[in-house]
Amino acid sequence: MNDRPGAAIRVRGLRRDFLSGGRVIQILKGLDLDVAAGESVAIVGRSGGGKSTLLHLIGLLDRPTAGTIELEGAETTTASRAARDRLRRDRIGFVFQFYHLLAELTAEQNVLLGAMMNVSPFEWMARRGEAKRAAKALLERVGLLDRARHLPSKLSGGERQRVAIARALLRDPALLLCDEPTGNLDEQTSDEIENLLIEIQKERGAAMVLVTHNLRLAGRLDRTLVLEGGRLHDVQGDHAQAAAVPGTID
Amino acid sequence: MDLLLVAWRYLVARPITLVSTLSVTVGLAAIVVVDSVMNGFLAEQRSMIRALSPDVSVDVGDLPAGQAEALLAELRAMGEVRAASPRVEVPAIHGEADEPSAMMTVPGHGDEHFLNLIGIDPAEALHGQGVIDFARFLAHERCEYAEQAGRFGADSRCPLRVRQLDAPFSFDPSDPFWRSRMDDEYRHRDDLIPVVFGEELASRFGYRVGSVITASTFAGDPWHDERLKVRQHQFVVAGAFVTRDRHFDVTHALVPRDRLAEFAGLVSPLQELAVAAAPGLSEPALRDLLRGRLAGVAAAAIQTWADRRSLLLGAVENERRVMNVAMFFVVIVATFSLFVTLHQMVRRKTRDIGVLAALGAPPLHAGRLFALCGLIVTGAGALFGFVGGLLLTRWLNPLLDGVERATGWRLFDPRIFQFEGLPIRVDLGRIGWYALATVACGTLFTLLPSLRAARLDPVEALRHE
Repeated sequence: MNDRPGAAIRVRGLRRDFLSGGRVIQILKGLDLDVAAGESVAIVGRSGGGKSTLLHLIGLLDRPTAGTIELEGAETTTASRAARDRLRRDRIGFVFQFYHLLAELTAEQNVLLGAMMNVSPFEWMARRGEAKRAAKALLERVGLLDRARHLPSKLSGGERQRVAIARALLRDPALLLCDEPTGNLDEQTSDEIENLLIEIQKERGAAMVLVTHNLRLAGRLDRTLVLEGGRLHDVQGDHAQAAAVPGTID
Repeated sequence: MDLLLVAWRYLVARPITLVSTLSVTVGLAAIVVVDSVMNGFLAEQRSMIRALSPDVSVDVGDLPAGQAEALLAELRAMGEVRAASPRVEVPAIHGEADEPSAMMTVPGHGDEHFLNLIGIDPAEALHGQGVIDFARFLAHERCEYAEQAGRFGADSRCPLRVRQLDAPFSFDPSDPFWRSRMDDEYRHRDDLIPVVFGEELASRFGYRVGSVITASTFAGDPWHDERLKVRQHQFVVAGAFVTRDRHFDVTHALVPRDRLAEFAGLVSPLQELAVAAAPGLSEPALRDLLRGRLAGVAAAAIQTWADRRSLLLGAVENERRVMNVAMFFVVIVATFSLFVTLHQMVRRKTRDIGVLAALGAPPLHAGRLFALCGLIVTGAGALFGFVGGLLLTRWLNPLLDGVERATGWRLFDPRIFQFEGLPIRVDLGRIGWYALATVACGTLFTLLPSLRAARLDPVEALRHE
């Protein structure tokens, strides 16, 4: 794996061990990864291979057993918890397979949630107008402005994922982490979400790391990496090699 | 800001939180009502127990008469003393004039009791000038109500109403008033001693103003080998008093002090000095002051009325303490539902905790979110309970009156408690403490689920099914 200039993420020697039944299980075994700003990378691999673990580590939700993770040039593994929380809030956006919208909040409130985080009611009063405008613009961009006041239970799966994408983009993140974003959708809706994600990622120039079993989606991104044996392998467009990974859908 | 929004949305989306709020509201409202009623009840009991007792009593029975008189003069000269007067109490037994005297059984009390005759100075005991505001206890008002209601017929007077409010012991057999009320054989008897009975006792024995009774007591000092002698005299009923302490009212009667001393054959009428504290001075403060100043009097001989009735008052205080413990359990039960509600909420919202973490929330954020939910429920419940409880205390008596009119059911048996309604006395300070204790308990029960939420690993939370 080569160093790339202007890297959004630079991961070196990343290791993550888990204890299970008194045994140490190495999920990630000294993994390296570079993603440049504006680049989109798909990660494929067998279930339980550590794809989501990698995403959680890059997303600063988890700490590695060893190795370093730099986000826009800043080393994060030794950073304080508060600094990591701040980075996650301001520079990283998550999109999950099961949308993970808060069921009690409307679509607009779900999108606004990131802007409200760690903001006092007084600060919010000052910022609310601007944040609401940004949320509405994003909802319009994902085609859901007319559903802004709807609860997630009143939205279809595709609509929920659109709201989740809008939520992830509110803070204009440098890095978008998507964990099987189309894994729970029918084919037609998957296509729509794929298109939307790729378009928005390009528009905004954010780096994107997308975990998927869908090789067609993976093929539409700039690079495809296979996570196998705790390490990433760049298949360099070798579709057959990626398709050989169990669980992938061609 | 997200905390407020999410907490509020979590709460309004779940009817169970309304149940928790209601349980805190009802619990605290019940506490406010019960405490106010208990407080009023205890105040009434204190006032009943006190009855006609002076603020402070100085026992001078062992002192030579001259020294006791000097003490009385000294007391009257003190700025801290509003009034001081001698008081005599003599045990007696009584009966109808033509029947032999006997110990009496007080109906409803079981035991046999002496009649305690209290000797007071009629001139000092009226209109707030004396140690006891005696006029306040005369059954005068009650008689007026009854007379106005026509209970005794158009021309009839309340049978226990004193002739003159400012002279309750006035008795003149030549006065047509007295003549009309006395049997012929007593109309010439100016040696009869006027007596004011407790209304309860007089009513039960059928006494009325003008009734003549015989009372007997014992004279002599058995400690100095004197043989006790029975002394007997006839008394004329001059009226009745009501203290609402039934026991006091059936075991005590008031007579002029000098006449009582004469009847009992007392060498000195100074057995006890009754003292009233000057305005602004508490009874214990006056007691302590007198203990320091009155030379030759043992400290134990100077007591407040509360010291003398300390056992009974202790029992009353005990009731309050037991009530406080019961109240504490009410608070715990009322706030425990919050623990259950929040515990369930944390379980159901575990994945939301992971989502919030993914959006940049620090680890304690989730804890704060559920703590805020708990505080909103407890705070709202406590506020509604406090205000609701106060409103209920205001309208409780009219409410009970309505229930009585509609169903005939009465909360207090008037034969036991002489209350016109529920005695309600709101102690804002104490119910404020109860409200704070409710919030504290709610916070405590909020703490455990909140800590659990705060300690959740965001990755595990995101994977939660």
